[in-house]
Amino acid sequence: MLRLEAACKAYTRQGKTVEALRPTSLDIGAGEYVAVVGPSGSGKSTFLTVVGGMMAPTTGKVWLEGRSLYDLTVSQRAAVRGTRIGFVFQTFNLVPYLTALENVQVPLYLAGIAPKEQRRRATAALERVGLADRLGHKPSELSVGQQQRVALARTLVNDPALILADEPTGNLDPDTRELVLGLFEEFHGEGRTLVVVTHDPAVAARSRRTLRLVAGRVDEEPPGERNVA
Amino acid sequence: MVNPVRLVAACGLLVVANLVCGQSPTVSSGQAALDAAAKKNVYTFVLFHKENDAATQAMRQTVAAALAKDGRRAEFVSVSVGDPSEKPLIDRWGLARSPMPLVLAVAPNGAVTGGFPLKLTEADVAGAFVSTGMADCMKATQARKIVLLCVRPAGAELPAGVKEFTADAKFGPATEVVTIRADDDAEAGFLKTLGISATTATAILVPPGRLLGTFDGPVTKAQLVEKVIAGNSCCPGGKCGPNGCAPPPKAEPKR
Amino acid sequence: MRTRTLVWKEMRERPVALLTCLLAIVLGVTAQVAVRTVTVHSEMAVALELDALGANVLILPKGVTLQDYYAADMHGETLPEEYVGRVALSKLQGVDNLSPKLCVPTTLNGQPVTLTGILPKSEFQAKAAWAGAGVFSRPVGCGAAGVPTDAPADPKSLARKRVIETLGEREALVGSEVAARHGLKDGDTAEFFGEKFTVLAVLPATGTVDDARVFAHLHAVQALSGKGEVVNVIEVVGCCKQIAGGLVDNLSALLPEAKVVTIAQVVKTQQNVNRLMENLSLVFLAVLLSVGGAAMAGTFFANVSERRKEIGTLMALGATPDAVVSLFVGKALVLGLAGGVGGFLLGSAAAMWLGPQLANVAVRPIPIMAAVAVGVSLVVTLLASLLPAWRASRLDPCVCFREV
Repeated sequence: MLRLEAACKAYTRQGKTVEALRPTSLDIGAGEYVAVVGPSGSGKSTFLTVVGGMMAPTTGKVWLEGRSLYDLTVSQRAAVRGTRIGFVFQTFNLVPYLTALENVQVPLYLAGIAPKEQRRRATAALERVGLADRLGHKPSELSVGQQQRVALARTLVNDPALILADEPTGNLDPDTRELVLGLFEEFHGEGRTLVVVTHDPAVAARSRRTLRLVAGRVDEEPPGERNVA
Repeated sequence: MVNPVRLVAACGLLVVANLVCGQSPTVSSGQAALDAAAKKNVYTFVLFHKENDAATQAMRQTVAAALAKDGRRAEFVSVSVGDPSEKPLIDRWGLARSPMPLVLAVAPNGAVTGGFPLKLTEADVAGAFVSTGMADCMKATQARKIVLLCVRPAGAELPAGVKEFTADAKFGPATEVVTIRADDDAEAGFLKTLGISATTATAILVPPGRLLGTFDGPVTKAQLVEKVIAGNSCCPGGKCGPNGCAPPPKAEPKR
Repeated sequence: MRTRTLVWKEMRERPVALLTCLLAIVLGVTAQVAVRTVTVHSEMAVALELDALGANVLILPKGVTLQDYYAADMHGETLPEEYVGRVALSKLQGVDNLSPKLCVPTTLNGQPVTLTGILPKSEFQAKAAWAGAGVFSRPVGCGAAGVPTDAPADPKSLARKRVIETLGEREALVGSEVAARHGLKDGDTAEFFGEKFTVLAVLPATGTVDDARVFAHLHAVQALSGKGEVVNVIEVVGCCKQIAGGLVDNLSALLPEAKVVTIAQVVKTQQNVNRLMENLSLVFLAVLLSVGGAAMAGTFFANVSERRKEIGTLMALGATPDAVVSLFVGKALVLGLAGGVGGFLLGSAAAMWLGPQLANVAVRPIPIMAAVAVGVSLVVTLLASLLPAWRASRLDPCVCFREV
């Protein structure tokens, strides 16, 4: 499903080169549930943006479903992001001036789906996450948990094969966190590949595989050792 | 020895006669000159003035010298516009507010053949003498009549169209026919100004002094009527509008 | 969900900043539309005047400066009436139609009205016949053939022809506005200077100051007002521009104490003013649009900055750089359209109010100006948005992963 070939991301600031992601080679198979753990500033966000097709590595390649992501054109890569990858953000990143339904429609709009079909699929996605009665509410009119469920509905609406989540439970209360983790299990059960960046041991514990990022370096954590710090 | 009673009676009769006849005590010198000239079949030059200023004196001298040089007989009279006895003459020609001094040349038939305000030249005086035919045409147009000027050989009849036109109830009363002999040398200059060279022709002249058209040879009433009707458009010689009556452009000289 | 939904919803979320810089564009477009609309109508009026009066010559007192042809007698200066005789007795071609006028203020039923003495043609036309030997060989003039068999000229033709054939000493021709205000019609009686006048005719509306006048015999007006044998203007109504052009020099030589002008000279001032207004409006527009455009660009940049997380998120969700650009360009299109339409409506309203006051012309909106206004406004807003939109499309997508 996802393969990195000596992918590295380096930044040069004031003459100094910083490797936010050191040359990394790894494989994530289809349907895997992977947690990415590491301290703050370890390069987790960089890792997500590189594997998510949003930031080209300085060196190396990233393959998604057999395609070299960064050999595609900008438009092709955007289309891949829109249809094959789903992002879940720590702060939900809902568009504040759109309703819940409209927020969920955005990926469908970007994929060129007709408005009527957008509405149908977005409504179905919101119903799945239990927000059928909140279609016309703006994010400011929803609780934190409801906002995250809208964000999850948005992630799912294009039926992505790969879900990349950045601290999906970081701002949630325990009940909502359980709800979200339950939904992740469902997504995993549907055969989707999940890569979740997290500090949360409960989230890491739900994963089947853990990658540890320290100072830009990715190491595989042996099963049984779940150190999320 | 005179009988005083008869003398008084005679004077009284004179006074009564004057009152009855309504004659002003002073007779207009201008009118008198015009009457005399008409009898003698000569022109009258009337100098109208307000004061006997330099301009008036200059005009007087010019007219007198021009007449002396010209040799043709003419009456010459000065009229002060402030003289009450001259009011009928002034009113007849509407001169009350005209520029002064002003010389009018009057033909024996009463037509004004020239009006010269403020100054005039000997050539103006000479030019005021017009032919009899022209004077008749001018008199008629000044009386606001349509003039049908018929140029014919001696003894020839008027064209049928002219007769029908003058018999028409609408046009007849407003029309005057003036006939000129084609071989009359005195009218040659007049005919030349009208552009008539044929021995038989008809010209239409309308007030205040415009040539509407000429027809060589015979002419019909319909032709005359059409010309007269067209003549009262806003611009008889062309179309209305700021460019309507523009004179034809001069041809560029060939290089 | 469509692009326009995103654009419209975002604009409704953040209206204040954009509306304030849109205001500068609206003001600039308003000014340009207003000035241009008034100028166009003024130019049309001038062209109509030139067309209708292009062959006319005015004889005026020396010190008079004229801006409105139709108010040529409303300056208070006078000429001796005997100038009419001088012109009528001259042998000049093209002086067939003279219209000497004297304008005096008076009252009618207690309300102020302008009484204009006009000399009918019949009073001086005969003198044109005293031209001597050349009288019948003069070229056919304009309106000179007074064929006696036709019906008397309609006195209402004064409104169009500016010359009247005959008028009695106690007859009056009433302008349409005066007639409407005092309820006058043909045959009524009106009193001026204590004398009764019969309304010979109510003149048709002309859209000029003549609609607010009453015309009476010049000599009656002179006598009643005590002005003496004077006139304010002698209008020579011609029908040939070329002849009129030649007349100016000839009349100037004949009447050295008077000022002789053509309609072209009269309207030249107005034409110069029109040109100046147009140039100034362009400068004004350029300044306003530059300021408005710069302000709008600044606002767009700020908008990009405050929406960077949103833009990053959209990119993560599959937005291409072109899609991001389209959001900002779409916004610019909406603002440009609003600025153009708003500027056109306000500008047209301003022109309709200002036209009669500034240029003495009635003004109507010019539909094509809407297209110009929208076009100008769109150009400014699109130009203002291009760089910010490009910057937005080049944002680092990682911003969507950062806490803000």
